[in-house]
Amino acid sequence: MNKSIRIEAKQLAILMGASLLTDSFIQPFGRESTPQSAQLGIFSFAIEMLVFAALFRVLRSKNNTILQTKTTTALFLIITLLSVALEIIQGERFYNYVMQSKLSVGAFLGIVFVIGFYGVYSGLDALSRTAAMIVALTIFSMFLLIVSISSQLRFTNLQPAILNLKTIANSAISQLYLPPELFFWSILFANSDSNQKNQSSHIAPVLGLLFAAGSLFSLIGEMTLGYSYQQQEHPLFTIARLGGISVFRRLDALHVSVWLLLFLIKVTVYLSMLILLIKKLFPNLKNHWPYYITVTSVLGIFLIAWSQAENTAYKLQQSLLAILFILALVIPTKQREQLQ
Amino acid sequence: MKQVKSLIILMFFIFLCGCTRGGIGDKIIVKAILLDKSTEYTVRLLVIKATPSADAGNAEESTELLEGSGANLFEAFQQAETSYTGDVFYGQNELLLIGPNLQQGDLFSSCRYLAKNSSGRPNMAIYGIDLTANQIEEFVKNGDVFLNHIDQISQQNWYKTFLYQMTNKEENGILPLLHYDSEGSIQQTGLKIYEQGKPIAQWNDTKESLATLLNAQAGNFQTVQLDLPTDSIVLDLRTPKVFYQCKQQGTTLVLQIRLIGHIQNIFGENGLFSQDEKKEILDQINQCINTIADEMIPIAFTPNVDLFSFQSWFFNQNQRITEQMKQSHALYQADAIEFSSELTIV
Repeated sequence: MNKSIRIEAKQLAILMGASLLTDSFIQPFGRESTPQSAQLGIFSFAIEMLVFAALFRVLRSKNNTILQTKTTTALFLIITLLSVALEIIQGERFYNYVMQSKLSVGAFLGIVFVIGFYGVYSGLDALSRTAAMIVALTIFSMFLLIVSISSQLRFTNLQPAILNLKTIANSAISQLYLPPELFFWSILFANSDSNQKNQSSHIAPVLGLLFAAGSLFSLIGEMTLGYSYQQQEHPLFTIARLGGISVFRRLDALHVSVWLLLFLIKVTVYLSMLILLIKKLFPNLKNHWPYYITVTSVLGIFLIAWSQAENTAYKLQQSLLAILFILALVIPTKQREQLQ
Repeated sequence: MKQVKSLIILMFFIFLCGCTRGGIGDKIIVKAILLDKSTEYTVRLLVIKATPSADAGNAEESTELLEGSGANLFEAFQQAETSYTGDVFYGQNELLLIGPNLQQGDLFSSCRYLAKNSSGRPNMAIYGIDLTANQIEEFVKNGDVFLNHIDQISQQNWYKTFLYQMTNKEENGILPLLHYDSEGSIQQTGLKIYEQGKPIAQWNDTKESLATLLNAQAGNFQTVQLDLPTDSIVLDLRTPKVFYQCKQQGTTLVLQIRLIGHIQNIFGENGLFSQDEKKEILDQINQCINTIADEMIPIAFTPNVDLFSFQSWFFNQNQRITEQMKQSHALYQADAIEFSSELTIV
């Protein structure tokens, strides 16, 4: 539990990339958006990645201003609490949708917390190594997916879309969301050993690969399903169910387990940040108290928001993130704040 | 302490596997779902019940039919599933058969329900079958024979529609029809065309083969049955292909569809045609196919329906002109699409 927070920039990039990759499979934080037609989808995805890059650049130039005042740290703590609760809600919904033998919600939460805290206990280094393995698994699963539906891909299934500034802007805005990972990344990067002006945070290759992955997913989704692609709730899961390679017909079981592993990585990253923030805000807490506080608060928010106030919670989280971003810009940069 | 931790982790694995609700011998596997509707929805699940035994010679399987009916599909499924005390396992189910009454209406809403429900999978092959409820029960009493025939459906190279293709909001689609005759063989007997939820046409024989070709579902061999004025013949086509080309003529676009293939054999009422007879009849064959295609295309391509994705060819050529033609409905006139059959003798 006293593992160092120092993590190399490259490993950090892989970890954050894995966390952001999950959003292609499981709706992030309850964002309500339907799949766009592939043409519009690719454009809006490109705009989304550019926005992320711009935000990150701004945050990184400000180093660690977020952790400098108690208010911003507390605000960030609330945001992370909301995010992890919303993400677990989405994960539970996805799990219920894809599995036939279902777990009760309590069992699911228990398992997620046990795995999450074990990941936190192992430290960010170990977590990033695991994330690298799981990203490799995801790439393999995507390769298998494409091979399995290759006989059903048709160019004529691609839907025409009216491409003008207005439709692209609408589509981009409906898909856009603020991910807390950018903030995590900037904080942890500021703390890494390679925080010199000319060291890269590897964000460009990561966002570029995410864009390539997202475009590929929407392309193969629409080339298989045609117009029905826009009416699916989980389009990648639908095409995973469609494909088969020779005698293997239930490959969706494999794909889904890999995607759920990605989800667990994302939750673990958020829980690590939560523990870090609690320890920063209340340095006098002993022993396992940060963990107890985390579990109770996340459970509390989960129960309040689940099926009742999800949309409100999502809007709250996004607005708080926007406020935090503005505050991070406004607060003058003092000397680099150290995480212990 | 370490042992306790490992034990806890092991317990997780035990609880997470799917066998907490009973052993494998208690599960029954669903092979096919048959849906129909009279006054209420009826669901019949064709299941295999296995009697496992340590002695491999004694293990056997029996075919059964689980029935349920209800005011809606949810109740019907529930009744069917609870009529058996064990666990109904849908994981291997890839076949959905629709009875004659349900084919007339309500087909798409039932498909939409199934696509969201865990008993339906988007890759289920959906067929219409002309068996009524009583006939099914009669056949199932013959047990394994019926099951074998049902099994064969997935192994044939018939026209295949997936469940997800029948869940669109516009309620357009093609439903392949099957006929199960009393001798116990299953044949494919045509395609039913749906527009806005209602069946508007049924395509048999030649039209069915043409639709298979246009939908890129034909393999390297295709038999086409033609009714010529002089004779009723069956063609053996080798490597039939459909070529699409969209050309701009002035201010409009024209889509040219060419059917190209080699005719290997022609069977007529008097038997196999000789090489000379084949050459004589070739022009007639091509003309006949052209006429039939010209009947099919106005049904397959209307403002509401685009069964063979013709629109995408127009859009890829020139989006602006296509939009204009769509607005003025010039896209759906007879001269927007030219079909020509260019089969040759091998």
